[in-house]
Amino acid sequence: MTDADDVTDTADVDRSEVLVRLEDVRRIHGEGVNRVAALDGVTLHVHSGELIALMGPSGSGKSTLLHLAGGLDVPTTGTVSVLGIPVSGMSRTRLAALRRRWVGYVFQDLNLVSTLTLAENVALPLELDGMSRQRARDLALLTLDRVGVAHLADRFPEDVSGGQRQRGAIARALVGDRRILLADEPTGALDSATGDEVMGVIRALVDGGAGAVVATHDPRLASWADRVVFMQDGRIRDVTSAVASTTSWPWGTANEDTGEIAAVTIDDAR
Amino acid sequence: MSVTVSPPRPQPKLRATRGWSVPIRLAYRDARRHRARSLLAALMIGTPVLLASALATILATADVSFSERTPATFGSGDVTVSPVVSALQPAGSLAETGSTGVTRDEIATIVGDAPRLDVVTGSIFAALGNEQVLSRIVVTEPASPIAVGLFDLLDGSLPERPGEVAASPGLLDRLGARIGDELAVDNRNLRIVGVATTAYADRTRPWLLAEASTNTLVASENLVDAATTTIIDLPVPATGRELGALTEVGGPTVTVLSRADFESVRRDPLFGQGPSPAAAGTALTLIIIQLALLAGPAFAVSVRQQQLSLAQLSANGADARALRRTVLAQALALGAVAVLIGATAGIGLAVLVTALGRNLWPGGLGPLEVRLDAVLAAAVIGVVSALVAAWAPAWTAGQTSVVGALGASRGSTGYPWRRALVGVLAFAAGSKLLDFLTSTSGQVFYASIGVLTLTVGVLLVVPLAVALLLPVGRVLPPVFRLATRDAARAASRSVAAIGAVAAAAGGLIAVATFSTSIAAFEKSTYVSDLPVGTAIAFAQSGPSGASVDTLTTAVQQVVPNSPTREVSRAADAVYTLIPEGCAEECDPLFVESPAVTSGPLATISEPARDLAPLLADNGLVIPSNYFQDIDRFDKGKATLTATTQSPTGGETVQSATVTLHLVRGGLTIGSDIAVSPTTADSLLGAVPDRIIVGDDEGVGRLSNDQLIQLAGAVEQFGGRTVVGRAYEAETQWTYLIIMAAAIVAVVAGTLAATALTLTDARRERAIVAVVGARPLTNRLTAGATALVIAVVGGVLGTVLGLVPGIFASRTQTDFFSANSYGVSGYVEPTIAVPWSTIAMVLIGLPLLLALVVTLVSPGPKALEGARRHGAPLGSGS
Repeated sequence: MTDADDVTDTADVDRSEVLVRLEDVRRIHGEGVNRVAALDGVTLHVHSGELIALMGPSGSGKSTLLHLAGGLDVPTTGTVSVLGIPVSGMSRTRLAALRRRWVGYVFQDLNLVSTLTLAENVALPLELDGMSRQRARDLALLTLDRVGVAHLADRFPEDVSGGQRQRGAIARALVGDRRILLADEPTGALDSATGDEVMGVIRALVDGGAGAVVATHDPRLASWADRVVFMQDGRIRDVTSAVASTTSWPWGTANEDTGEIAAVTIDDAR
Repeated sequence: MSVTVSPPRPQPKLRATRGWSVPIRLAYRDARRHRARSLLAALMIGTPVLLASALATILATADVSFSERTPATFGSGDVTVSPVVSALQPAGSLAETGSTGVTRDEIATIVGDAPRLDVVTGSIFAALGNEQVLSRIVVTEPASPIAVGLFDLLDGSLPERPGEVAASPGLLDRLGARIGDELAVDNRNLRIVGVATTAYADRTRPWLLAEASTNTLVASENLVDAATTTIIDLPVPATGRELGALTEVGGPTVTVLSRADFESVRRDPLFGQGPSPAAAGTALTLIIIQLALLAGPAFAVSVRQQQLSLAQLSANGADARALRRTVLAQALALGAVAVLIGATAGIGLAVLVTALGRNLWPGGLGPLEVRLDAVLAAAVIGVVSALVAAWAPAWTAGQTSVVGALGASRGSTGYPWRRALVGVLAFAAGSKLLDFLTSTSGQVFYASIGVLTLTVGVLLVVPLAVALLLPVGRVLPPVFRLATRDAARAASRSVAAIGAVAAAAGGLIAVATFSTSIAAFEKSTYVSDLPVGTAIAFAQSGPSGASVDTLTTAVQQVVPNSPTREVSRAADAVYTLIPEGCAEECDPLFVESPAVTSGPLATISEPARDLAPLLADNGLVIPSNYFQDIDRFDKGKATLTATTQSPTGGETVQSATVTLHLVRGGLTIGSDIAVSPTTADSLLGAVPDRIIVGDDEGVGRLSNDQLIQLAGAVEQFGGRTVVGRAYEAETQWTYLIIMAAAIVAVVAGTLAATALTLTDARRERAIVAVVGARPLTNRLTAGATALVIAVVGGVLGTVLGLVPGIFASRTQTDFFSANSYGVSGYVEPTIAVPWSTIAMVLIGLPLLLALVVTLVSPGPKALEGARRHGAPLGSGS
C-alpha cells in the first residue's frame, strides 16, 4: 500500500463545503403494526475533508442513513442533498450518475460482481461512465495498488480471500474522482493491521478533500474520524470529536444484539 | 451396575420411500419459494405434453376410421357389389343388367331373395339461372331400410318424391342455391328439399341425391360415368363362399366388399403408416434431449440457489444420494404436475377445437376420440424429460462441497478441452456415418445413429464454447462483458440453455437446408408438360363432351386474343408401327392415334420445333423418349397400320408407308406420334380434337393463374386440358411446421435461459446498479444475455444442422426423373445453403430476442433490488 500522504494534499481543502446534507430526515419502513421508523428526525452535515464515524447498535439506523446519503434510498420526510442537489428530485438515471462519479460505497461483504475480476469490478463505474476500457483498467490497477491487491487484479472475487475481496470493494469505492465515500463496516472482514491500512487510505482520500461516513462497531476505527456520531433507535444521540476524546470513550462498544454498551477507552481501543 | 437394553428400532414399512421424505420436503419448499422458476420448468415440460395430447385427440377425432365409415358405405346392408372402373353406360342399362357387371339374376342365384338396394352414381349438368355446374348425382331410394346411414342430412329433408333432390354444400355454394330452389337437370326441374353428405361423393364437390323414381335421370343420355353399386342386406353375415361366388361371377370388373371385413379392419395408425422404429426412436430421443435441455437450466439454477442448504444437509450427514434426491424429487414432482395439467389442458383444447370444427365443417369430424395411449406416451416422455433434465444438476448436487459452498467458493473454472475433443470426434464420426450411409444404402437405422452422434458431439462442445466466452468478455464493453461472463461463470445454467438453442437451431437449419435444396433441385430440373405459358384443350367424345368449336369459345372467354390453333388426330383405331424390312420377329410398336398436322403443332415443343419438313412426304415424327427400344425407329421407313373393328366383328386394316424421323426430346402435344394430313387421309382420315393455346414465340403466353382459369373453363364444358405451367415453389407445410416448432424452441430456450439468468443474477445486477449503472444499462445487459445465448446456440446449431441437411439433400437430389418425358438418371446433387434461415438464426432472432428482453426486463431499483435479492447492503436497518 502506498503512503496516503503521497497522494493527497490537505492544504487547499475547503472544509466549509457541505457535501451531504440531511435535514430532519425520517425514513419509515412498513405500515400499520409493522411500521418502523428507521430514521427519526436526523440532521447531519458531512463536510469536505471530514471523516465521520457512525456508531450504534444494530437497528439504530446507521445503514439507512448511509443508503440515504448515497442516493440509494429516499427519505419519507425531510431533505437529503448530495453535492447541493436534493436526491428526492433526482431521476434514477441521475442518481446512477451520482453513484458512478461522486459517491463511493463500500458494503460489508460479498459486494463485488462475481462474474467480473477485481480489476473489472473496480473499473466498472468508470467504464459505465464512458471511460475507455484501457484507461479505466489503468486507474483500477492504481487504486488496487493503493489497497494492496494489485497482484490479484485478474482474479475473480470468489477466488480470493474475504479480506482481499473487501479491499477490492474499497478500491471500487475509491476509484475516480469520488467526493463522498460511504462505508458500512468496511473492515469487518479484515485483520486489525489491514483494517488500519484501509482506514489510512480512506483518511488520505478525506484529507484530499472528500467527505466520508463510516459505519462501524469498532471504536478503534472510529478513532480515525473527525467526528463520531452515535445513533440509537433511529436518532442521533450524541456527536463528539474523536480526537478530543483521547482519554475516555463515553459509550464504548455497542453489543450488536442487545445494544448494550461496554465501557472502553479510546486508548484501550487503540 | 444396571444395563439398559434399548428395544430394536422398528424397521420402516415402506422401504421404497426411505430417504425421500427430507428431499421431497426440500423440493416442495424450494418449488413454492421460487414459483417463477418452478413455473418455467413446468411450462417447458407441460407445454409439449399439452400440444401432443391436443394433437393426438384432434387427429383421432378427425380420422374417420373404417368402422366409423361403415354405415355410410353399407347403410344397413352387409355386402356391396360395385364396378371397378366407371364406364360410359348405355341408356337404360340398369334395368337390363345392372351396371356392376353382374346381373341381378346372377346375384339372386348367390344371395337368394335378400333385400337389395341399387345406388346409381354418375355425372350430369345442373343449372340454376345462368349458372351451370357438372355435378355428381346419386340416384337411389333414400327411404329404403337399407339406406339408413348412407346419407348425413345437414338441413331440410331427403328426397321422397320424384322431382325432389338433396344437394351437397359444395353444389349450393357453387350455384348459390338454397333449399326450395329449382335446379334444371336434364331438361327437367328438380326442387332442392335438403342438404346432405354421403360417402359416395366428395362433400366439397357438387352432388345431388335424387329419388330413384326419378328414373328418367338414370336413363338419360346426359348421365355420364354412370355406375351402379348394389347393396345387399343378408339375413346372416356374408360367408366367404358367397363373397367368393360374387367376385367370381363379376370377374375383374367388380369389387365385392363385406361389412364384416370392413369392420374387422383395424383403424389406421394415428399417423398413417408411421415412421420406421429407428426414425421414431431417434425423433423420440431428440425430443427428450430437447425438452431436457430446455428444462435443465431451471434445475441447475435450483441447485445453485440451494447450494447452502445442500451443504448444510451434507454437513449434517446427508450422503450424495440424498442430495441428488433433493433435485430428482423436484423434477419428479414438477414433471408429474406439469404432465397432468398439460394432458388435461390438451384434451380440453382438443374438445374446444373439435367443437369449433364441427360448426365450421359439419360432418367432417367423427365422435370425440381421446387417444389415451398417445396422451399417456406424451406424459411419460414429459416425466422422463424432467428426470433427464434434472440428472446433471442432481449429480452436481451430489458433489456439493461443504467447505466450498459454505465458503461461497465455486472452485476453479477450467476449459473442458477433453470433453470438447470427444465432442469433435463424435461430430466427425457422425458426419462420416451419414456420409457413408447416405451415399450407399441409406439405412434409416444407421442414419439415425449418425444424427444422434452428431447431436451429442455438438452438445459436448457447448461447455467449451461457453467457457471460451470468459476471455472473449475481456475485450467487450461492460454490457456484453457482464453477459458473457455470466454465461461462462454460471455454466451449469448456460450450457444446457445454449445446448437447447443449438439443438433447436440445428433442427431448423437441417430442415431448411433440405427443403431449400429440394426446392432448388425441383426448380432446376422442372420440366413442364408443355412449353411454359401454353395449353392444349382436348375435346371429349360422348354426349356431354365439348366440341373443338365450343372449346375455342370457352378459351377466348377466359384469355381473349390468345392465339389458338386447331389440331386433329387420326380417326380412332389401333395403330401399330413396324420398321420396314423387319420380318415377323419384330414386335410392332403400338401407338395411340397420331396427331395430324402439317407442321405447326411442332412449334409448341422446343426440341421438335418446325417439323413441317419432316412431316412432308409421308413423314412420321416420333419422340425419342416415349418408347423403350426406340433406336430401331431411328431412321428409314416403317409401316403404320390402322386396324378397326366393326360392330359385326369384321376387321378393317389400312396401312401406309411412312418415313421415320426420331426427334430427341418431347413432342408434347398429347400424342405419341405425329403424321401429316396426307398420311392420315391414306389411313382412316382425321378428326379435329384439340386446340393449342399460345405459341413458342411468347405471343399469348399465359400466366399460371390464366392457365388455371382456362383449365376450369374447359372442364366446365366437358373438356380436359394439359397446360405448361411455369415453375412454382410449392408450400411445404410439413417443413414449415417443423421449422416453426424449431423456431419456437429457439425462442423458448433463449427466453427461458434469460429469465433464469435474470433471476439467478439479481444480486449482481443490483450491485451493478448500486455502483452507478443506468436503468437502461441493466436492461441492455439483460438483452445482451439473450443475444449471447441465442448467437452461441445459433452458431453451434448451424454447424449441427448443415451436416445432416446436406447429406439428406444429397441423397434426395442425385436422381432426376421427368416422367412425362421418360427421362431419368443420376445427376450432380443439388445442395443449397439456406442463407436466409442462417441469417435469421444468427442475426434476426438473436437481435429480436435481445430487443424484446431489453424492452420488457425490469431494471432493478438499486437498493430495493439489492435488498430483496440478498446483496448485503448493510447489517443494520
